[in-house]
Amino acid sequence: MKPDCDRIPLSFTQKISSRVEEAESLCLRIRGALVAAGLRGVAFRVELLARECLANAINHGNRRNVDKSVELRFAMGRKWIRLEVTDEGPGFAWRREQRRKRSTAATSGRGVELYSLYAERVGFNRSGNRIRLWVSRKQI
Amino acid sequence: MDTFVIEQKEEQGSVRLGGDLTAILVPELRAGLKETLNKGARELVFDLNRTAMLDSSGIGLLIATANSLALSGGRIKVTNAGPDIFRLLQSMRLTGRLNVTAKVAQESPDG
Repeated sequence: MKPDCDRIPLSFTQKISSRVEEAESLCLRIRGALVAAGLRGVAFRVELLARECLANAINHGNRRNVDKSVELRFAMGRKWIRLEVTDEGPGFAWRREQRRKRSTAATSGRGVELYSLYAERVGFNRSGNRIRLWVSRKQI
Repeated sequence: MDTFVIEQKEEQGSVRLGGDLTAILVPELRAGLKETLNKGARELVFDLNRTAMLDSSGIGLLIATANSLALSGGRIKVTNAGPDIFRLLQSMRLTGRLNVTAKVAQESPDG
């Protein structure tokens, strides 16, 4: 069943350039919003997912081209928190990437694994340059 | 406290992080670690006592450090991992490779 995000007490959209510094500020904004909303219990999960989405969008999607932007939509519903991140790249073969297993000695490529570990639901558009993640507000 | 402090005495090194270990810190920390490894460190202890967030860039740096140390018969230790970070490393099957120990909860003065 599709999670319900129709009623959104807190939501925002922010566009940043492909700079790590801007992604960092945005992630701290998300942390602040969750803590302020009394959702400290899920703040780590949501912030981590936002960091991974933004890093993939900047590094792989936009190839660190600072003239290209990344848009993040953050929406807090009654039951769910939804993140949507879109970059200006061509996308990637996300189905193949989701099936890929990495050695514990690998030093990169863990972002997609983290999506499935920390989000209840993950969805991509057809090309793979837009990701949507849903995290339950229920505190673990 | 600075973002990190690296100390080294012969083959023993320690890295005290002043905050999160994420993509923004990784380039600077990587350079510091490279210098420490070049000076002959064989054991590096990372103290995460003040670290609330660890992302895949930070994890990658810890693994790269562990891999470099293993080449010279050395090892990494990651100490004082908070519950969220400990669970993250556990779920990625990395607690053994990185020799991770969790932060011990402080008892209140009242007991």
